Amino acid sequence: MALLEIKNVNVRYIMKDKKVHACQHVSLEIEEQDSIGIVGESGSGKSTLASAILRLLPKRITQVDGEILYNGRDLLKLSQEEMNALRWTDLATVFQKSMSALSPVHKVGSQMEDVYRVHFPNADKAEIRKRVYQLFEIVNLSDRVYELYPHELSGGMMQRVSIALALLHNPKLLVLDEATTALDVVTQSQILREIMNLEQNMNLTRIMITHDVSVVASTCKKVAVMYAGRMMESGETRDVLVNPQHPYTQGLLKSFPSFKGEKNDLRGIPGSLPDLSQEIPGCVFADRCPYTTERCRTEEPMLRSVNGKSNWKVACHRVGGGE
Amino acid sequence: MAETVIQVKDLTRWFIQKKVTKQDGKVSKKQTIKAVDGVSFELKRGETLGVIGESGCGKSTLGRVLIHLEEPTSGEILYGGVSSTKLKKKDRLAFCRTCQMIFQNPFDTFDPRYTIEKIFMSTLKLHKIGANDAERQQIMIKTLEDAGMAPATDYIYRHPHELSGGQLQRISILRSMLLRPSFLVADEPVSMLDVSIRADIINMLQTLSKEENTAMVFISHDIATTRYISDRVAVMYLGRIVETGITDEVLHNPQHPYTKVLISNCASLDPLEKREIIEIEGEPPTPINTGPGCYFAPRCYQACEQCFKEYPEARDLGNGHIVSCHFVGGDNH
Repeated sequence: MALLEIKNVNVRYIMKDKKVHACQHVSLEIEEQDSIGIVGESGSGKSTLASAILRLLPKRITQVDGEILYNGRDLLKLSQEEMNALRWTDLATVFQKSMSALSPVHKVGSQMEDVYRVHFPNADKAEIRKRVYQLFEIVNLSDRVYELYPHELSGGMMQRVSIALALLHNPKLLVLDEATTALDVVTQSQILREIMNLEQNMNLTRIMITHDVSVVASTCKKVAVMYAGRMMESGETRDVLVNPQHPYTQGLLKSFPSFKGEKNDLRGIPGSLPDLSQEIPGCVFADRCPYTTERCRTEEPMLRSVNGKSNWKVACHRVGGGE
Repeated sequence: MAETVIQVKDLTRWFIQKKVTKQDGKVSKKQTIKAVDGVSFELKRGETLGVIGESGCGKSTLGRVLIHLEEPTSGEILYGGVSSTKLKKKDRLAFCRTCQMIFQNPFDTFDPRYTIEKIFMSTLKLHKIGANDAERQQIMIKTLEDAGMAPATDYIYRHPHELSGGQLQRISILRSMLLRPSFLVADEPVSMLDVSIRADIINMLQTLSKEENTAMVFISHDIATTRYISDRVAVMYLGRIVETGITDEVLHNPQHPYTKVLISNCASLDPLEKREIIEIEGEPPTPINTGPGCYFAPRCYQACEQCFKEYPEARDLGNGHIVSCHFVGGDNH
């Protein structure tokens, strides 16, 4: 059975005079020990989806429906206490800016102590210190970081602290929301390598949210492409990225300059994201798609399996015997 | 042979940290941070030089010094053979017309209370382009519409916050190119933008600079983008250029260990490609007390005794490919 099953999730942000459909009909299955990358432009709803999984969206202004099953339990229906019990031990997350995720007025060590005491309120200091040192070793930090303040660390070190913090209670599912985006290439690849090693040693399942397709290409087994709150294409990385079926995925891959080969093949996708507060009757990508037909504007395409593979799904009328 | 637009000779920019007595009575030392430490290069008309390196290596400081947003500590920048300090003293406006800059964040580039029209008009007026307002208006509309932002009336009455990042960055580029500068510095112009828009901005920048025959320094940490736009690249580490040459020669046949590390760590789009990653430890240190040896030696995977003793000379491998490493082209093989 899948570890995490997202079924038909809709997320709406409610404003005074309009509702913004940030995620619509998103379905995704994540097996144990999988690594899945969610890619898309900014505003495509990647982070909203991650926050919905972790129940971090502000209740007052959001409306979430659908089912998010974690080991068969619906996360959206759990009480606050039940959810808190799952946090850190089952679900953990690393955000893009650890600078703002860590408290600037507390030492790294004491922040980690706090988190440790969430689940073991009576733990003594020496025990916590031992565990934290262990984690520091895993993420390649020296022990002295324990006594430092976040501003004394570099961006890469701070990101490592965040990762160590997320691993404190051996979570089963780790959500990395643009965790390496703000870092340099060399540091980024160091950290990605460390995460991949961890995965093998600690039985982790990983959801990676990023706009950088190359990060997904080199670290994830599966990929899901999102656009304007909808799932466009999902499947194994070596299928989707090598032979993309959806026009949006094709466009996205073409807008990355490649390191090898000819130089004159760089093209962007014309236009910009549609207004998500309006109902869009057809395909959301229709306005920017080079192959738009009449049908695309009136009928929303459903996710369909292609090329005889059950886990490779594309939402486009052109693909998979739609016509 | 195209004429040389800019010549940079041994340019340095040092920041001095003063001696400070802290509250607990500790006294910090006076320190010199060598952000740019002896950079030399030449650019010809219409040529694009890509500068790559990790953050903190001095790329942005170099860009700012080149157009005199910061005064160099020592060294010379020659525009068409004349020192930039002299040019700036003589006629600041004329100097601004010869060199322009595009910044990373387009939202910080403009005055938030100006409309796009006012932004363009004030630039034109200041530099006395166009005889009267009507003519300036025409120039503005033509520039916008030529760049695909038609009809221009959709844009000119708006404020910067009413436009998207991509549109604003386009306007930022157009405004800079309006003055027909002979030299342009683009400091990470696309790293704030979405991937699907990046390609268009890069293409636009390239077309404009080729049309006007502008020499450009393109600063970026994204190697693939730099490769796309540059004729030549320079790899910087701790304020010095460690390797420079024609783009594909440097990137596909890197000689300096730092360049090798940088390139091998670049994630590729192809999930099937087998890559060999050269692993190095740590992060670039702050350039204080750099010592006599090669700056990269403490992190280098093939450093030897000599590397710690003396800074390697720049060696020409032919075809303008210059590398500073003891292991390359020298006696140490």
